[in-house]
Amino acid sequence: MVVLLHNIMETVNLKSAGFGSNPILEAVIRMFGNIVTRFILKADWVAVTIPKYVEILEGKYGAKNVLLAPHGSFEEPTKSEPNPMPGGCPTVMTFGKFGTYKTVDLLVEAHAVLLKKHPDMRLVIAGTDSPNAAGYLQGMREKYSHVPNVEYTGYVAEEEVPRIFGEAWVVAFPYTSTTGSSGVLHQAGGYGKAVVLPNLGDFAELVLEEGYDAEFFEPASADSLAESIANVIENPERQKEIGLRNYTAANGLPITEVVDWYLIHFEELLKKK
Amino acid sequence: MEIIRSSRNNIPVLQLKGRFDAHEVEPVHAWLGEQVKNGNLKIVVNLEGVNFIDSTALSTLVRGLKLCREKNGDLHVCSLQQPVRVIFELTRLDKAFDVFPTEEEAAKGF
Repeated sequence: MVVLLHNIMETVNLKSAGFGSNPILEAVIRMFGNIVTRFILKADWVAVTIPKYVEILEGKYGAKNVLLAPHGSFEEPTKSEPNPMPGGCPTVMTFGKFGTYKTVDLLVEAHAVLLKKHPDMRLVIAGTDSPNAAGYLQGMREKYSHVPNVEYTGYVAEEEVPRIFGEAWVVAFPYTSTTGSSGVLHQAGGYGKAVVLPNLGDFAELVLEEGYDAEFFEPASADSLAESIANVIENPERQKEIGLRNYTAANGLPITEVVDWYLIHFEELLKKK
Repeated sequence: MEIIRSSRNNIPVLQLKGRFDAHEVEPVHAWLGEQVKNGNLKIVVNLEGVNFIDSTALSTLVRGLKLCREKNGDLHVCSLQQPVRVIFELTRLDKAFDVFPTEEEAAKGF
């Protein structure tokens, strides 16, 4: 049996994830997390997508059966050329389920900073509340009602996804804590988009390991985020460079090839058994 | 990245030098496909000069290994530098591939 572990308990910020308000509850969740992790480690192989996770699982649990595997892209390689510079007005887009470790307040504040220089700039917040943060986006909409050119799409139907990504000049990842490898990053790469990422260890490692490029910002700073976005939208060469590099990275490793990678490990297991 | 194509004891050898990443995989992919198409099912990839390898590059080698093994051949890798060895170990691909210290041993190892 091979298990893919997308996230590990040790790197999850429970407060950011909406579970850390009660220290006793947090301790109980972590205890169960440890038990579940030990149970998962009974598998023949446990695959993770971040090198640091291998070190943590080997160090803390003494695991000898953890391996690093690529995340891959769920997007099929596109036949047409990517379009990192779609024209129109500068559009920053963020995509996901928000309210826990994916928050938008910093992004709206960065948008407000950038509007002073780029009054036609759009911010598209595509997606819904996280199941653990019902009402979050409505709260943000009310809190920042004074900030213009912010669009909340709500749920994005699959057929609308290409348009949402297609219109974006840059895809922003306003994450407050580390997560596993990001599916949205791979999606953005599939559309040849420049991205701005928080300067969190996991993402930096991912960029290096999987051939992506990005502008980085300090996680708690709206000014830093605004500067990173400006570095893209005010610099067409950089916008194009990041977009094309990400396109190559995303198309270089479609999920079908990731499956081959797993099958190689299955073959080794079958040989042993 | 520099690519040197040669052979040793009639085994095709691909020697790579520099950074082996998503932007450099195409010629390697093409060479591996060409070898298999021509019936060369025992292949050596010498990574002595590679100082960085990413997952797309590794995936290209996995694809080559799969193509060879599907036809009862094999792909040997050799001469891994420390940073590349670490990646092979982290991914456990050091267990999936036959890894040799030298090109000569890799060619003799079939």
